[in-house]
Amino acid sequence: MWRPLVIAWKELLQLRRDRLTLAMMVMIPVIQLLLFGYAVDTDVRHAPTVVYDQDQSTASRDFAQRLQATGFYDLVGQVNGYDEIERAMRQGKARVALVVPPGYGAELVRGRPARLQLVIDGSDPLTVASATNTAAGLALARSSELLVGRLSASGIGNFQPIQLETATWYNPELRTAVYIVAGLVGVILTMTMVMFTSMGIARERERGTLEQLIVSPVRPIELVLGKIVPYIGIGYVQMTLILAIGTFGFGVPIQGSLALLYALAFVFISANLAVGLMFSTVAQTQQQAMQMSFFFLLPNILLSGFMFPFEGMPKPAQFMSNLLPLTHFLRIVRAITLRGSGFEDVRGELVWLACILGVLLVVTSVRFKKKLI
Amino acid sequence: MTEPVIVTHGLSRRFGQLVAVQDVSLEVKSGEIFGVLGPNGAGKSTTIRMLCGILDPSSGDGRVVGLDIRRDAERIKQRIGYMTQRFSLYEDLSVEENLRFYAGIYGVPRRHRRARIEQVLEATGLVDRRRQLAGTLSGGWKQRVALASATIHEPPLLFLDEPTAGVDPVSRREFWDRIHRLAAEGTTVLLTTHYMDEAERCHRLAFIFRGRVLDVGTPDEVVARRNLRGIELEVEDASRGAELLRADGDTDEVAHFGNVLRLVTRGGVDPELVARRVLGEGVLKGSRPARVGVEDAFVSMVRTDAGVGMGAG
Repeated sequence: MWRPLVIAWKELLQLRRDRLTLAMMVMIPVIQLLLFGYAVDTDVRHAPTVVYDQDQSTASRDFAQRLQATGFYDLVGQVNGYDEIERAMRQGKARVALVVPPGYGAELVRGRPARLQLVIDGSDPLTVASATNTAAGLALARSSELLVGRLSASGIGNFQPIQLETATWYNPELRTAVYIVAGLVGVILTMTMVMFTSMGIARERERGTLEQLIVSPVRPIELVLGKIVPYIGIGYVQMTLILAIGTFGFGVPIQGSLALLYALAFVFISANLAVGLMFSTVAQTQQQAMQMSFFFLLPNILLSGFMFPFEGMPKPAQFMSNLLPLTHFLRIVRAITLRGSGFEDVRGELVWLACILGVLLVVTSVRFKKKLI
Repeated sequence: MTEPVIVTHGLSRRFGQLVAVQDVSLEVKSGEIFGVLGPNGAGKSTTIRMLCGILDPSSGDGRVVGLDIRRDAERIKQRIGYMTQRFSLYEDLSVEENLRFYAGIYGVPRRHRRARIEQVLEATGLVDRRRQLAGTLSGGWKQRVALASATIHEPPLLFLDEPTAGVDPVSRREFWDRIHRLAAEGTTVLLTTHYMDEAERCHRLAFIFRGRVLDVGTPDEVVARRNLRGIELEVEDASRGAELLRADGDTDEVAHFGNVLRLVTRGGVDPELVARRVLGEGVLKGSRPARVGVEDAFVSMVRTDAGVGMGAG
């Protein structure tokens, strides 16, 4: 039998006895998927809103009703005065307050500019953006509605100067879950692949079995191959699991070719295994290997575009981001699953991935040789 | 004459400023049990590592199983068995799985593998425990599995680095029986140990101290060259007696053995005469001649060498 296969057989035997690790490999994807899929939603909905209506007119009540109807604001009560708004925000009872000054309705009737004020709790910037945009849009729509009504009343005709019709493709309902779940494929593969390979070699070092292997005729490359082959298989199992739950549980569409996705995932999985092996040449114990893996995971989550859009990052962060395999794989997964992209569309990302893998392999094999013997 | 299984000439290894092994020249013949003795840090493991081809010598050269240790390291690995100081088998694999793994790693041909594993299980008395996880075995049994794994590919040369550390006396005896059986079948064995009773079971010995070989020979030769003589003394006040004897120029070593003192003299001087001269007739109650062994030779050699070293420094 070929030596890497002997080692792979041994790894699988050990894995079968290590129920905890085995359970972790399945549970990590499932739990993360549920966490991110259900809990993480960057759209603000149902922001508790109080109304300070000094006008008490039909027009003011009408505007408040329309705010409620957008779904972004929940009207939770009426207040009388700014001090009450402040108290409501401090107690966390309201994130937004609508202030209608006296005479709002009368001004509208008179055809003069009428003022409204929206007070927003700025401690969470995400709320501010969503709340402002929605309310501003609503005010604009209401204005043009009134304007058009007035113009047609004066006989000029029923028209609207500019009509912007937005069409959102690929994720029309703008569900965060769809975007996140696709990205989770990459995040979970990064986490488990790096962790399990780095710990796999560290464990042999810790238990003294590595020394026994060094005096045997096993070559470093055979050891590496034998160690990573089972984990590539596990990587694919995890990926399939996430995609299946994503599709059937969260309705994430898979528009493109699954075969292409699986083929490109091979390069990505290999790159992560190489990172894991590189860590294993440094880590003396399994605990160190685990710590290094988590340390590596953090920039991956923050910089890869998984949580925050790449376009919004400052230049140095974008540079770092491009060096991470996950950044490119995320683009590939999202392109293939959500937009149905083909090979030509993601070729640029594949080139990036291949270059990163090449560098990692050179560094790792040099380090591996030196350190093992 | 066939070529010796191990031959080295002036083998040295430095780690930075530290000279771990200096100018080691050895010859080990086929079928021999060759013991390397020395305190911790003497350079035993470093020497073995160079012979196994996993550590390059800084200078000097050597041939192991007819192959050059610098150029043919990979081919040497195929033809040797190696048992490390620590029990280093996979604790979460069964006895048989461990053997199957190493049989695969050493490329034991598929058609022979099953038969070979049975043979090794039989020889080491592990047949009944083949399905037990290695991690649940006690020290002596683990050592059997380690030896079985190291010999699974029938290597002509076996390296054992402190193989009996932490193993109970009964298991140690059984282990030595197996080593002698292997040697009788033609396997050459090189082992390191601190146990002096084990050193006497070797065909030949090398004393290593501070990276250098102090002496090589059969246990009898090595002991004879020190020219030591021993006696056991019954003395009135043992600790006072020991103090007096130690101060004497002819004394090599005085040790307490229960109620008696064991005196070893150097230069072939009659220990009884020394005892009478130093202690006086009244104090000495009785005496009987004592055998001088490898341990005495070793202690004497290390003391002399250390003394010379200190004097020179």
